[in-house]
Amino acid sequence: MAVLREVLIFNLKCFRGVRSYFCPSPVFQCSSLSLNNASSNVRNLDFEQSDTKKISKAMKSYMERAKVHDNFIKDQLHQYNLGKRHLANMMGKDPEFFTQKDVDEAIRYLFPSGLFDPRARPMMKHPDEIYPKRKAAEFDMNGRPFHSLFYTSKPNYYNLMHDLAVKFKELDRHEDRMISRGIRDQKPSELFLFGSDWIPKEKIESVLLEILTDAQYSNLIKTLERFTQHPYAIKEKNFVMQFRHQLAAQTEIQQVPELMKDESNRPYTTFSARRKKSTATVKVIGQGTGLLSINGKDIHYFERKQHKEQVIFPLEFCNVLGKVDVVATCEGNGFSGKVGAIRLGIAMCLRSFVDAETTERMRLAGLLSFDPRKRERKKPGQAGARKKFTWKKR
Amino acid sequence: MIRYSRTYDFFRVWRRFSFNSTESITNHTFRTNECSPINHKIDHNGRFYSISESVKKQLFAGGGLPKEYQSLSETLNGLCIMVRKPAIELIHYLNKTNFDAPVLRYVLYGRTGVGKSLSLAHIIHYGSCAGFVLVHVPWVPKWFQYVKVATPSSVQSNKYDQPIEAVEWLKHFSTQNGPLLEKCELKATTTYTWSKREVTAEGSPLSELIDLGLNRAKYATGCIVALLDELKKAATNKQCRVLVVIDGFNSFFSPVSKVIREDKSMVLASEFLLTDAFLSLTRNDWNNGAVVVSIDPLAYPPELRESPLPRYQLGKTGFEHLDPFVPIEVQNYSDKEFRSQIDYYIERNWLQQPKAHTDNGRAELSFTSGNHPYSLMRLVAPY
Repeated sequence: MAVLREVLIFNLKCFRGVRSYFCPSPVFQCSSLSLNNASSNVRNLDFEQSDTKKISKAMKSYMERAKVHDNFIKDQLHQYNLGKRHLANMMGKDPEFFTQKDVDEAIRYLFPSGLFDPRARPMMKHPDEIYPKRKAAEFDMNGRPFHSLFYTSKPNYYNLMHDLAVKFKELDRHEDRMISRGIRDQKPSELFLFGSDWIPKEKIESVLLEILTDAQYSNLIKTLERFTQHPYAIKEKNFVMQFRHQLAAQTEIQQVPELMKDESNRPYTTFSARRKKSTATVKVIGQGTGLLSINGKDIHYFERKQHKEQVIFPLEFCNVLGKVDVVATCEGNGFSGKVGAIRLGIAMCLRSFVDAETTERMRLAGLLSFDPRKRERKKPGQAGARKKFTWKKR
Repeated sequence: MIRYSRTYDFFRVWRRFSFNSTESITNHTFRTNECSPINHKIDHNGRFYSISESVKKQLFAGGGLPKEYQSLSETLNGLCIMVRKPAIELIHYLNKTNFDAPVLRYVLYGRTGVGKSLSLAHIIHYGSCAGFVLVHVPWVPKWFQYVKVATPSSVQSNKYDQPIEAVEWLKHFSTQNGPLLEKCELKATTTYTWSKREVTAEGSPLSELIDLGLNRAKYATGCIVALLDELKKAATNKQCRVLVVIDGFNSFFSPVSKVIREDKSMVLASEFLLTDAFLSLTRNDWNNGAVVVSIDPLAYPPELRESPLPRYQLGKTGFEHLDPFVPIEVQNYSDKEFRSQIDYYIERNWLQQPKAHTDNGRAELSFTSGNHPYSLMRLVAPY
C-alpha cells in the first residue's frame, strides 16, 4: 500500500508539473501517467499486497487487462530476441552484437520481396514499434480519476488547450509589463514559423493518445495560430515549434544560387528542369529587353495560347516582363512537357533576381515545385491506363 | 493574367456599348491626318491613316485586303492602315525612280502574318493616288490551289485556261483602273482574232478588250494575255505608268499543284497561260513602271515553309527570273508600332480590358504575341 500511495502521489504531482508534449524531459520520463507509454509501475503492483476491499471494479478490470497485455508484450519480446539470435546465427554473426539494422538487412536478404509498399514487405521489429501504445490507468484504486479533466473523456487534449490559454495570459501579462515600461508596438514575430507547417491530426493523436474530431483538431490549430499572432509569441517559440514540422522542399528552395556575370557583365543564372519526359535548360539574363529564344525561335515555338501563357507566367508573377532575357533549349516529348520544364526553369532562375518574399510567394503559387505527374502505363487486359474494353455479354 | 471575353454574343453587346464609351484617348499620336500615301515619310512610321469607303470599294473590292483584316475593319468602323517601314521605303523608292530605266522589281518577304499584304495594299493605294495603272493580283495561290475550272487554252494548245478566275481578275482590273483607262485612251496595237465573228480590231480602246473578256469567259484568259501585252507596250511608249502588284508571287513557281489531270498527273502553275502573262510582266524588258511582289510561305505547299527567304521560297527558277531585285523584309512590330497598334485597338474599344491600358498589360501582350501582328490581332480578338 505504501508503495502504491507513493506512486500515486508522484503521479498527481506530475500533472501539475512542467510538460513537454514531444521531447520528453527527465521529469516527463518519470511520470507514470504521462502522455506516453503505459506505466510499468502501476502494472507491477501485486494484487495481494493491495487493500482488496477498497479496489474499485474499474481498477480491477484495468489491472487484469494490463496484466494480459504485459504478458503478451513480454512474450513478443522474448520471441523477438529469440528470432534475432536465430537470424544472427543464420547470417554468421555474433548474436550479442546483432542490432536492429542487421536484422533489417538479414530480413531483406532472406526474404526478398518485390512488393512496392515498404510496409507490405516482410519485417521484424521490436514489439514496441509494432504494437500501439496504450494509456496507463487514469484512476486510483478507489476509482477516483487522477486528472481533473478526466470526465471530459479527452483529458490530454483539453489539458493542452488549457495550457495554451495559461500561456496566452502569461504573454498578455508580459506585454502589459512591457507597455508599463514604455515599450510598445512590438510587431508579431511570426518569422520563426517560416518554412514549417502545423503537424497533422494523426501525429497529434498519436502523441495525446486520444482520438480527436476534426473540429477539435481545427480548434487546436486555430488557437495555436492565434497564439503565434501574439506580439511576444517568440518567447514561447520552443513550445510552438513542437506542433510544427519543417517542410522538406523548403530547404532546397531557400538555397538560391548566386548570380553569375557573362562577358558583357550582365547577370545571369541557369537551371535545368524536367517535366514528363521533357528536359529544358533555361538561362535568364538580367538587364534585358524581354527577348525570348526557345530552341532558336521566339514565342511562336509554341502554337497554343496556353503554352505561351505558361512561359509568361513566372515572368509576369515576378514583374520582370521586358526586364530580363530568356534563352531556353528544350527537348523530348510534347509541347506541354517542354513548356512545363521551361516554366519551372525560368521560375527557378528568377529566384536569384527577386527578394526572399517574392520567392516565398512563388513557392506558394506552385511555381517552384516539380510536377511529378507522368504518363500512366497501359494495363494488360485493358484498352489503356484506365479505359476498359467494350463489355459484351457474350 | 489578362483574360479576354469569349462570349459569342460579344459583337452584339460590343456594338451597343462601344461607341457610347466616355473614355477616349486624347493624345492621338497613333494617327496621322496625312491620308495621301504619296506624302508618307519616315515621320509617319507607326501611325494609322484612314482610307475612305469609296477608295476602298474601288481598290479592294476584288481582294487585296486579308479577309480577317477586312472584316475587322468593318467592325471597327473604317479601314485604317498602319504606315510601316517597308511601305515607306517602297514609296520613297517609287517617288525617286527614274522611269526611263528598265522596271525595278521589289520583293517583299517575311514570315506569315507580319503584314506583307497590308504593305502591298498601302502600295496599291499609293499607285492609285500617283496615277499608275494598277495590275494587281490579290492572291496568286487562289488561281492554282482552288481552281474551279481549268480548260485547254484557246490560244496556245499546250496550255491551260482558267476562265472563271480570268473573268474575276478582269473585273477587278476594270474596277481598279476604269476611270484612268478612259483618261489615258489606250488603244490596241494589233488585231486580235478570237473566232470568226469575234475580233478586236487594231485601234479599238482597251476597254473593249476587257468587255469582251468579261462577256466571253472562253476568251477571258486570252484577253488578259493581250491586255498585259498592250499595257507593257503602252508603258514603254510613255502613254501610262504601270504598277504591277502581285501577292503570293512564289506560287507561280510552286513545285506542287492541286489541279489534277485525268491520269492523275499534276498541272503545274507553269502550264497555265495566266502564269506566262504575269511572268512576262515581271521581266525587266520594259520601262515606265514598277513591279512589287510579295512572297509568302503560305503561297507555297505546306511541306516547303521552313524559311521565308526569297531563295528558298522562289526556288532556283523563280529567283533567276526575278534577279536582280530589291529585297525588302517585313518584320514584326517595333516597340513604337506595337504601342500604336494597342492604342488603336483601345481607341476603337476593341480592347476593353482595363489592364491592357497599363504598361504591364502591354508588356504581357507584347510578350505573348511576340510582337507578331497577326498573333496580336488573334490575341485581342474575342473570338
